[in-house]
Amino acid sequence: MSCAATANSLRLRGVTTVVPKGEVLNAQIDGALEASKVTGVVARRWVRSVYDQKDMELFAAQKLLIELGWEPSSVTTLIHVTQTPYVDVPAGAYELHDKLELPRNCAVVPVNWSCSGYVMGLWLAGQLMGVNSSARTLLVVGDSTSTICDPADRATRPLFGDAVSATALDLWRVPVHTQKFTVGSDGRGAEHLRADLSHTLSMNGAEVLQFVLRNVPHMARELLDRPGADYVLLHQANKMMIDALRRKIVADCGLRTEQIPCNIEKFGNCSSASIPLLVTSLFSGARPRALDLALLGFGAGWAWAGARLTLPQDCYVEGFEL
Amino acid sequence: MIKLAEILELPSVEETTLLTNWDSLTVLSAMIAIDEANGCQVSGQSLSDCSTVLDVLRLAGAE
Repeated sequence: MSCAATANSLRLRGVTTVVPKGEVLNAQIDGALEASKVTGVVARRWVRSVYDQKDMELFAAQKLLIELGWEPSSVTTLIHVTQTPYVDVPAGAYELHDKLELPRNCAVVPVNWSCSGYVMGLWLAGQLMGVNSSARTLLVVGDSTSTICDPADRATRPLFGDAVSATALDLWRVPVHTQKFTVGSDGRGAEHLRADLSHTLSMNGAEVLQFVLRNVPHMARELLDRPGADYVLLHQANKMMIDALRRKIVADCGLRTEQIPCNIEKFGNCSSASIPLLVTSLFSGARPRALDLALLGFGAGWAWAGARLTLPQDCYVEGFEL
Repeated sequence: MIKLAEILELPSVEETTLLTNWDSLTVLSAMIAIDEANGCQVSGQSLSDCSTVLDVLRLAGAE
């Protein structure tokens, strides 16, 4: 399904990310060095006992509200995307709503999406805000995937890192062609990347790769049919997959390899937070101009989502450790 | 054939070469190589079932 934006489009006002302090290196994990031939991961961050996922999400969101000068009472929607909820009922999003002191008329939308979750969340925010020009949305995404990996599983344990992100969104009027979303789903892939009720993640890497090769290049071509993209930000799945996608996008869409950055070696696969983690890794601080970005998320479901949008020059972008 | 030899970390391969070191890494690498060479996506399972280089070439041509 594709849906071009109308006159009112999403505006990124701020993006923050938070990762746990302290790297976990390959030497500290059984099988990680061997796995790194595929994963490309050298270090990752895992939540420890001091601060957990909820603390990091709260920090990311509070920091964003303060930096933007947004009163909590002005937030009309909180979208919370995670595949590692820290409570079953009610959704953890309500604790965030409480701690952030968001108003009673703020809609809370908890969603279980994984690696496609950031872009899916942006798409959802746009759908929910519609034409309400006073709407303000907080999109909080994040996972502590390390907590659902079997310590003995050499496919998942070395691959995943933990990270969270908060994104502030409102609406602005921009030319229709400057923003585009595409989303897709294929539930036949559900069995290949899943965590059952015992909360242990299992992954069939070959099936994931086949799904990605079949769907992501097509999504990239769809988003990049208009020239001018400054960067393509891919979900950081694993290095072998990223390299294959890079080669295809460079060949198909005429971009340069350096326009498709990669940071998986530093953070591992951080699920839904991997794309905002690229944003804060690359674009923190002052920027000379607005940037035209294509974001591509894909993962468990199967689910995939792409966005072509502007990172405004004045969008607050910062990464933190906690 | 050259790409398969690289993936298998062998100096060269023939159609009859046995896939003795055919593991998850080589299967993933072969999936990408076939996609890039022929524009087709083969399943990991069908590749895992291959026992010779000829099996891989047939699979790449057939799918």
